Amino acid sequence: MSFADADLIVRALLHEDQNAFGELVRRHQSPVRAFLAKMTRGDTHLADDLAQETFLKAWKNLKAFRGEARFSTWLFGIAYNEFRGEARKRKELALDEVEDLPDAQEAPAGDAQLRMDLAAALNTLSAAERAAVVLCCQNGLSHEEAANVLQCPLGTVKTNVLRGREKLKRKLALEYKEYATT
Amino acid sequence: MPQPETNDPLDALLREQDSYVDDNGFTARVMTSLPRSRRSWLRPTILCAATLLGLALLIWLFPLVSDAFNSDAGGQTFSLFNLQAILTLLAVVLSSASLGWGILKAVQSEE
Repeated sequence: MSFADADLIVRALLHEDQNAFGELVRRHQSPVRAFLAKMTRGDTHLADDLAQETFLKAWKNLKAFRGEARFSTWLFGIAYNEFRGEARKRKELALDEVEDLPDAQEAPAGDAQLRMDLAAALNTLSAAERAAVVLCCQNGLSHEEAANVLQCPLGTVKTNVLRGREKLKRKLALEYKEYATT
Repeated sequence: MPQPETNDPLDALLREQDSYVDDNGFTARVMTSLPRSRRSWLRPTILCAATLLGLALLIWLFPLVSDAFNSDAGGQTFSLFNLQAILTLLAVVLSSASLGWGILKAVQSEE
């Protein structure tokens, strides 16, 4: 029998049922870890540490979840705050100003290469642009949900998505012509 | 509401790149890092309190119990007096059992 997220949250809250919370972690670990891996530019160890801290904070603050947003959206919000805290520590936000693409590699343009190039292009976006693109274009969040997660105005999210997508297209168009005109 | 899907190749590529991340023990690590439940002490505490209450009752009623056994030894018939003694003994047995169970559970939760 499969419980909905809301049922598991109620069980975790009312009975402090850690097994119910464990099921929530199992369900949502993939998108949260993938999001943080992209935010940390592929540093999976750091991403997993931040993801662990995200779920720990989610457990401690479960009462604060009022069900107005999806549970996954709420988790993304905590995850992004964890990333920002870490970035502040590492001064990564300052490094985000550097937006030049690394030297293009002379590899054949297969699917794997294309994915690598996309990952590299994503890494050149600013943290805010990267977060907006990953949340809206990869995780399917609406602009409103992303604004809620990133705690910024709706217009800023729309601008960051637009700007991020344009940058990605520009970078990819250098190697792949199909991304030049769209 | 999620954004409508488009035919833009970039959107397709971004969605394609969003692959599932295997758990690989991540959930287990999170679960071990969670703080112990604030209610884990509640059940053993209630059981121990009930046991202590039972023992207090036994001490309070002890003269009654010993009198009941003495009267049995004298060959008297069953009376309400004997029933009280039996109930008291039953309370002691149940209290002891609950104490044992409470201690066992407390030890298990510590493990």
